[in-house]
Amino acid sequence: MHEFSLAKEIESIVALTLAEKPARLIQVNLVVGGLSGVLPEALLSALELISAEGPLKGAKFSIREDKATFKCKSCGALTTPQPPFFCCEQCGSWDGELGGGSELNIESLEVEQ
Amino acid sequence: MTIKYEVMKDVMAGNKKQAQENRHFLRHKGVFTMNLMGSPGSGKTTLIEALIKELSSAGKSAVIEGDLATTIDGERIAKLGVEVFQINTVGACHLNAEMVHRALARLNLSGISFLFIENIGNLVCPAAYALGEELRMVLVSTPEGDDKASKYPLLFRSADVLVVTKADLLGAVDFSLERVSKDARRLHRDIAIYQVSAVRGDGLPQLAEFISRRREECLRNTSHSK
Repeated sequence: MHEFSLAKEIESIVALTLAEKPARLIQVNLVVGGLSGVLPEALLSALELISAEGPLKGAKFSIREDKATFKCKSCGALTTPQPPFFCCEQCGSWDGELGGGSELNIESLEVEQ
Repeated sequence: MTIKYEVMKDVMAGNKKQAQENRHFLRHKGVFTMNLMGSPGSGKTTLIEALIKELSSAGKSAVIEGDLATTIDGERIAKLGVEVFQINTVGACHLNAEMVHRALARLNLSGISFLFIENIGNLVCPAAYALGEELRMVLVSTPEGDDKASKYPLLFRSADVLVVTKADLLGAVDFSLERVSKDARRLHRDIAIYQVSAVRGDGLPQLAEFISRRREECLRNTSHSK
């Protein structure tokens, strides 16, 4: 729901990065974690909207989704847990370690010099 | 020629950094800060009013009120004679650390022990934004239904305490305290759970006691880290 705020934040980080290394922006590569609460489609729409002008003008966007993992202490399986409860997909146990998936990162920028 | 810059920047880093600065500032002033999150109508303002009174023997409170557009809640709190600052997000669905930072510059925090931050009524977006709080409090009122934890897992995963409000309506509405507690504990094993009725007053002393205890722990940890 707050993807527009996130798109504006991405815009300002990209602008700062390009101020250090001036070049023509071609593509922004993003990673969205499965536990970040960010909807990739909504983020893309917001980015497309704000890239009509300003620092992101003309850029393309690519979003890679990083799914969370659950390492089960009961059965040892490493699974991709599903909302809402993020438990072991194999045996249903709650006892385990939830890893990854909470990030929203700008992984790289593709530019033309 | 197209080249690739490896950037690896956390989009939330700016908010996390500002939240950490807010936390540091408030801790060293001896202010214990709570972020209250819940649906519109879950009773956030009413709970703040009740807790200000309940905690008055333990210390003075101040309030940051978040609201889309109005000052209704801020005016309610001001009637209690406490320091209050109103943030209007002009439609934005959550508070962020920068908004709180600007509010802190305008609040007189001398002699304040407890700071309540009332977030925007929303169970989705506030989950992603730390404000600089010590305690993340999620409210679920009994008329909303007992399925809120399972429907909004990210918010409950990040919460330290669940407060079930409007407990006076239990019996009149279909709400199982057991179900919401079980779901909340599945999402956060150590979540504290309290049940209150702000109109009848039950549960408030226990919740106030919990808040005071957490403040003392926080003060002890801060003095150790100096």
